[in-house]
Amino acid sequence: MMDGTMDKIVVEHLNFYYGEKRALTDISIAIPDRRITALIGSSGCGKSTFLRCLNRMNDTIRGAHAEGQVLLDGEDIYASGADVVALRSRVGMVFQRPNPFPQSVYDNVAFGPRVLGMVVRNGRLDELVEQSLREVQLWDEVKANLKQDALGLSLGQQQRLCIARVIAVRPEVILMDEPCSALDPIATLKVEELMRGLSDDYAIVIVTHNMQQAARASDYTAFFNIGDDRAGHLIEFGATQEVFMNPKHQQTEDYITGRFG
Amino acid sequence: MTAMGRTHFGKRLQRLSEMVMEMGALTQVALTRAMRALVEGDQDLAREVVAADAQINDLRLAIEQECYLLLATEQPVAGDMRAIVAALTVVGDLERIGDHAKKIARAYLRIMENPRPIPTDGVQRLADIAIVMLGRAMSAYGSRDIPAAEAVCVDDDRADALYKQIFDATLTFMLADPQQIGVGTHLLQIAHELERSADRATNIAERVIYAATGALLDLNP
Repeated sequence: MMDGTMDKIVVEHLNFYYGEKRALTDISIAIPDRRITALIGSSGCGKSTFLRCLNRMNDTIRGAHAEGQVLLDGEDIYASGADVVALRSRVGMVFQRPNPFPQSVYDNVAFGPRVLGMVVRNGRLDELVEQSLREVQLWDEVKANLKQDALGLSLGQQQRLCIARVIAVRPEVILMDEPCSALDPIATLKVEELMRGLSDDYAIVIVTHNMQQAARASDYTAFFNIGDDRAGHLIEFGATQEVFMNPKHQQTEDYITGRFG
Repeated sequence: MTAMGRTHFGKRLQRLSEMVMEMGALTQVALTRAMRALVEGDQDLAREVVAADAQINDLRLAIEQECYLLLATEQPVAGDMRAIVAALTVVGDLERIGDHAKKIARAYLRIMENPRPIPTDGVQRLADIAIVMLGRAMSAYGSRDIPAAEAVCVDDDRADALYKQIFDATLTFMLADPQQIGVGTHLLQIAHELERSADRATNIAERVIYAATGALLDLNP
């Protein structure tokens, strides 16, 4: 628990492998609820692999397996018998490039609730779609024509639509894998503002290559680096302002100040 | 650390540090020369000190400008950010020490408008302490030497004690002979400028510790 918040996800001694190759070594971290946690580090340091461990997205890769524990509200998501579909409705994900379905704006947002059978009566589905689009500040831009093709939206709008699609199923955690890397600076700032608002209700974990984004848009920062075993290690985790003003580890300092070698 | 990234930025930070050191050297020279003018009775030298303050002020503005550019264009964080912020505050203190030197020279020139013998022993000893403190603070700045920075505040206690002695002695000197009130008043001002210079040297030492560790301390509470 940090700054009075509850821990949402507690990871203990997580090792992760792609077949024989170890990708993560002994990661232990407590991710706070209703805060934004940024994962930073150079390419190949395991931050995206780690993110995908949090909702078992890596399960689809053959030979991939995890050791250790990932506790969501105290329950191990890797325990035998854990319901992966239920897990992913609790832990949603937003990807690098916006990936709306080739359907209408409305159907994109309604997709999850329909699949999960969350809402049966159409009136309530309309409400849920509107509320989700409002939460991502997209409602006013699309309300005139909810039947329009989602692929006709700008990239920034598409990404906010994808976030609306995630929150429509009322998750508890939102994972974001470089959600702004395909967006221009204005669309990026809109997503960051949106994240701030969403963190009142959700735990958000974001992978970013943009250190300024981590510095300005997150509450906590975790720095990953490649260890001698060529796998990803968690080097430092703390309040973002501490990490960016006065990091405890030289490796963190070297990375965030742009010195490497 | 193998600094493979941001070589250009690294060079600018290094240059910034050198400019601050240069400004530190100029203020030490200003204080030393102001005191020499007073003790040796050299009015030309006092006028030179007054004139030379403009160079210190110009250098401060140039350093400040470079700090703002680096902050705006390089988005510094961690140690880099602290180095730039420390430079900004250190040059503020150095600029004021330059002003203290100028005011000492001016006070001496005022005394000489109606020349009288000046008892300079006390203020010379105080100046010696302040100048050594400034030298140590700047040396600690150059090498990011934390123990050396911490040691600066020990001398500040001596400076404060000596200032009180000078204050009392000067009052006694003025009470004994009201003819000396003019000289005594200027002497009190000179002692005050020196005492403030010592305080500012302590401020610089505090910023050295901040730059090196991130800790914001008050070494002279």
